[in-house]
Amino acid sequence: MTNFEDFTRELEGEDEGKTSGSGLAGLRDLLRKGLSPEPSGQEQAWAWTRLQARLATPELIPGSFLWMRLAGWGAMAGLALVVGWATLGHPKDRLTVQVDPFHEEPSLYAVAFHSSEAHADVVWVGGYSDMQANDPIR
Amino acid sequence: MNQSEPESVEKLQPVQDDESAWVEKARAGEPDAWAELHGRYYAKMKAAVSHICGDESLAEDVVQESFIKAYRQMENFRGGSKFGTWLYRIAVNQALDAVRKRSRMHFWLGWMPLSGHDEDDESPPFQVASPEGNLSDAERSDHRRAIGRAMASLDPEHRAVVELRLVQGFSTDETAKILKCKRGTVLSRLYYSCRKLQQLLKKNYDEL
Repeated sequence: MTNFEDFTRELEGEDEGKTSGSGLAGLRDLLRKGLSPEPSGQEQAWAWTRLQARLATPELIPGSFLWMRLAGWGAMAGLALVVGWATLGHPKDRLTVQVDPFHEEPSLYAVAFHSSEAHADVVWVGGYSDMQANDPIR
Repeated sequence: MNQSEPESVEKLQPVQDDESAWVEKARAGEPDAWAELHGRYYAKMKAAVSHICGDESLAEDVVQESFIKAYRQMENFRGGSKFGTWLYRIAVNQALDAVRKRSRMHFWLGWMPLSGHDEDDESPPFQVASPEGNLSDAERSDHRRAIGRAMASLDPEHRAVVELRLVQGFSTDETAKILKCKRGTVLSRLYYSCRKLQQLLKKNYDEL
């Protein structure tokens, strides 16, 4: 096989029944002999039985297929929520930091969270400094 | 069919005698007609799809799905082309889709540590027959490996052209119709594929 034009001519020649005995014919024969043969009659009969069984089942309507996919995605989302809940716990159990209500006093802060172990809401107030008895109350 | 065609090509061409009558009956939903058409085309289609996919079990599924698709879309067959060409078009396109899906899946599975893929697997990716009857098992095995690896080196679109044009014996125009591409594309793909196959197989086979 030298170039594309020669190849095309050789191919057309073979179509017209001119056996060239060239590399192309050799390659074709090699592939035909070397690649897997056609399946047996037994396999074909089995395939026909299998096909008949499939044809007997009603066709899946594209609309229902869409609903099935949506239902599938919904189920997956629900499962993810359940797994997330079980793994991370209720959102209330999470530590929540509240803004200091006494923002004019930068040293004072409060943290509130729900303790699932103690079954109680806990408020942690920090930042107090000692106060002298004679300090004026603001 | 042209009487001057080589015998091997003649044998591989689908029978066309009373096919239109069977096709009309199949269009009417007659099970006997579908049994007849299945009998005529299953073996050749299975072999073709198997060579394109490189996987026997995948080919079985593809051929079955192709017949189901043909059965359910029979009203779309207008008779503008041969029934066989239409059926092969469905099967080859299904095969190419299946190979692409499998490649994508292998790509993602390749990232997983336990994909079960063995890089040193020596078995050929293609199911091949022994080319010579009087060869030893070792020689047969060498033939199988050589042909299987050479075919596997082509991408699926090129394999499809080689399979339809050279192995199945469809004409260039029919191959173009089946693959929904231009005649020139078929010829250029075939030229490229043949050159590559010859380069790969030349050292094993003197006739190339």
